[in-house]
Amino acid sequence: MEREAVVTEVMRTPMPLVWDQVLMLPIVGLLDSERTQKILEMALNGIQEHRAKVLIVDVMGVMVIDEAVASHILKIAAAAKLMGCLCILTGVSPQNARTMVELGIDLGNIHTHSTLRDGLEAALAHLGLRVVGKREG
Amino acid sequence: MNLMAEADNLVVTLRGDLDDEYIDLLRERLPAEVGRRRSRGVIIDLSAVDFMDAHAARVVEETAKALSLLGAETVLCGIGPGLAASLVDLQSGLARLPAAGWLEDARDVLEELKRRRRV
Repeated sequence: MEREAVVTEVMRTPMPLVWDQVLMLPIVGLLDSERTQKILEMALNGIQEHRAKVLIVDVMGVMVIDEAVASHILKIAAAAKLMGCLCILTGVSPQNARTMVELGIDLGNIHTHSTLRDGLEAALAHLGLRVVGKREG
Repeated sequence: MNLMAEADNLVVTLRGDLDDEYIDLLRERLPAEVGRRRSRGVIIDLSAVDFMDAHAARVVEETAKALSLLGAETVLCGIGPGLAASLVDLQSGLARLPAAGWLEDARDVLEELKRRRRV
């Protein structure tokens, strides 16, 4: 009963638009096939609605990144690419990085960063933007 | 299908159900037009297409390869959520083609690809 409440809560996790055309998808908790399908739909609809050019998929809240999770991420990235949206993965912990290597998981061409900050910087760079201090230029 | 010339680019708008007849027309007509006009770039607008089966996806992919041999870059645009998800499920090679969300973005992507080809 409690687990169900958590899953329902997480399914309502919003996708913040962290910058113009930069959408963030936090993935948290357990992923079953129904959830992954809903997440994919939500992400793609969000990309269309916001004309997003970058989707930052943050997996800090995912305890174990196994083949199933990796496959789900790859699917989101491929579909996003077809919609003209780059996928950036953030929040990979050192432990998960080791697990993925041990499992032989290949995330292909997906750019990965350990922190959201770095992922956001990469997203802005993709849009031809960078952050400057007020005193510069 | 609607073909529209913009400078040395061609914008092809596909619509509705891409049945075999329609898709064969694309396979024949598009390379012929590109050859005739010496187009350097092609944008295939899929915003009016809700669904593609494996055959249609394959024909579009092969047509893009043929266009490349004719010296033209191809960019897909307007693929919506449903179409994107089903193309991924089909494991379509279309995922390897450059794609943009909207026509304006597709033009930018196309110009960049053409620039690189010239180098």
